Amino acid sequence: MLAKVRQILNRTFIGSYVANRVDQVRTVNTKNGIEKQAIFLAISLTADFCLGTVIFSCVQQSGYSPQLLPQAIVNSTESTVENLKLIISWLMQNPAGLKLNSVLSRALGKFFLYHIHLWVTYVYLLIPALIDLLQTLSPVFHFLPLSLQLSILGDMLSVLCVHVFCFYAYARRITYSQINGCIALARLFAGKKYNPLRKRVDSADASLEHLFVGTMVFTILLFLLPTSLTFFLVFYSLRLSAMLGLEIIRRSIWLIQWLPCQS
Amino acid sequence: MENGRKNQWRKVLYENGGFPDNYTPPESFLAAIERNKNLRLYTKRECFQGAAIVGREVSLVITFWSLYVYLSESLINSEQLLVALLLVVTSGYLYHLRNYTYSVLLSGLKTTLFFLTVGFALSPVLFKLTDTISTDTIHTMSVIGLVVHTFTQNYGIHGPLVSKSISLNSAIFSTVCLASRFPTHIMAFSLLCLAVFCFLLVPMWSEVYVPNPLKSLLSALISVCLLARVLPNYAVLAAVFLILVQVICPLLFFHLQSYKQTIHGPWDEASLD
Repeated sequence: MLAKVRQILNRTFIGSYVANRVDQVRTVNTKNGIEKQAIFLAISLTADFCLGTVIFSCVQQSGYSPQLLPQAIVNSTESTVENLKLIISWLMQNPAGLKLNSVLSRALGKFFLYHIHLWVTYVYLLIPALIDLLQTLSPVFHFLPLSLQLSILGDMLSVLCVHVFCFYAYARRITYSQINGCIALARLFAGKKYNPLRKRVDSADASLEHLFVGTMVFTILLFLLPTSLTFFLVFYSLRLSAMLGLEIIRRSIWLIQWLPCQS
Repeated sequence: MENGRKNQWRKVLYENGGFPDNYTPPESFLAAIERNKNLRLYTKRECFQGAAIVGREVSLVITFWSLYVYLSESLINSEQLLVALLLVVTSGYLYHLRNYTYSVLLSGLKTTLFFLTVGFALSPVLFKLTDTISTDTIHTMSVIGLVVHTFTQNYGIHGPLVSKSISLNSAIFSTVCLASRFPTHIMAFSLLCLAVFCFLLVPMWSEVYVPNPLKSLLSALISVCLLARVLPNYAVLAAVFLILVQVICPLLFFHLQSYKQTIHGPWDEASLD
C-alpha cells in the first residue's frame, strides 16, 4: 500500500523530493556509522536552505517576485497553446512541401485542435484555485530549500507540458497500428501469413475475397502512412524537448540532494 | 585373381569379386554417356499455343490501360462502362450456364456482389487517397504494378516466379493508384469494376476456354486499336511487342530447339522416379 503511494508520489517532483529526504533520514537512523551520515545529511540540508535563500534573494533583486508567478503561469500556458495551434495548422496545409494526404491531415489536425480546446477550458477552470494556493504559499517561498523550489518549478513545467505528452501518445498509437496493419497485409500481398503458434511466416491459402479486400486496405494504409508519420515525428520531437527540460531539473535536484551524502 | 582367370567386374555389390567397392573400369564411365535423353520437342502448334496465353494477358493489360485513359479524358462515361461490363458479364454467365451447375454460378454471383459492395464502399476513400501526389509518380507506380502482375501471372508452366496472390494484388494495387486520378468517386468505382472484370473474371474464363493463337491475335488487334485512338506512338510500340511475343518468339523457339544438347550419365544425382 505504501509502495503504491510511493509510486504515485515519485511521478511528481515535489513528492519524490519529500520521499527522498524521508529515505535519507531513515537510512541515517538505521545505519551503523550514524555520526558520519548525520553530519553529511545536516550539511546537505543546510546547504540546501542557504542556497535557496541566497538564490531567491538574487532572483528577487533582479525583479522576479513570487507575486508575479501566477501571471507568469497563465502567460506561458497561453503561449504554449498558441504555438501548438500554429504547428498543427501548419501541418494541416502542406508542411515543408511534403505531400500529405489532405483529408487525413485535416481530420487529424481538427482532432488535435479540439483536444487543445478542451484542455484550455480545463486549465482556465483550474487556474484560479492554483493562484489562490500560490498566494498563500508566497511568503514561505523565500525560506524553502533550493531543491524544493526547483521541484515546484519542475512540477509546474510538467503540468504545462502534459498535453504534449498526450498528443505524442495519440500519434504514436495511430502510427503504430497503421505500421502493424501494413506489415501484416504486406505479408498477405506476397501470399503468406504469420503463424503465432510456431512464431514463423507460413504460406497462406487466402480466398479471392481475402486477397481483394486485403490489397485495397493495404494500399489505403500505405498511402496514409506518411501523413501519420509526419504528425508522429513532430509530436515526438516536441516531447523530446519537453523531456530534456524536465530532465535537466531532475538532475540538478539530484545533484543538490545526494552529492554531499555520497562523498 | 583366382583360377588363373581374370575376374570380370560386374556391377553387383553383393558378390565379392576381389575388386574394391568403389572400383569402376576406366573406359566404362564415359562410355555410359547418354545425349538428349527424355528430350521433349514441342510442335509448332504447341509453341504458338503457349505464346497465345502470354499474348492474351499482355493485350488485356493494354486494353485496361487504354480504357483508363478513355475514362480520364472523358471519352466514355463511367455509366457507359458499367453498363458494358454488366452486359459482357451477363452474357458470359449465360454462356457458362450450359456447362455448369446452378450452385457454382450462384457462388460466383455472390463473390461478384461482395466485390462490388466493398469497392463501392471504399471508392470515396480511394479517389482522394493520392490527391496530392503528382500524376507522373502515380503512373509510374501503376505501370510497375502491372509489369509485376504480368511477370507473376500463371501461364500454365510452374516456375518460382509464379504466384497467383502477387499477380492479383499488384493488379489491384495499380488500380487503386490510378483510381485517385478521377474527379468523382463513381468513376473510381467503374475503374475498380473494370479491374475486377479484367484480372479476376477473365482469368477464370480462360482457365476453361483456353485461348488459341487466332483468338489471342484478335484480342491483340482490338487492344492496339483501342490504344491507337489516344496514344498512337505507344500503340505502335505495343503492336511491335505483341507481334514479337506471339509470332516471332514461338518461331524462334521452334527453330532453336534443334540446337538442344543435354548430357546424362552415371555422374547425375540419383532421383527416385
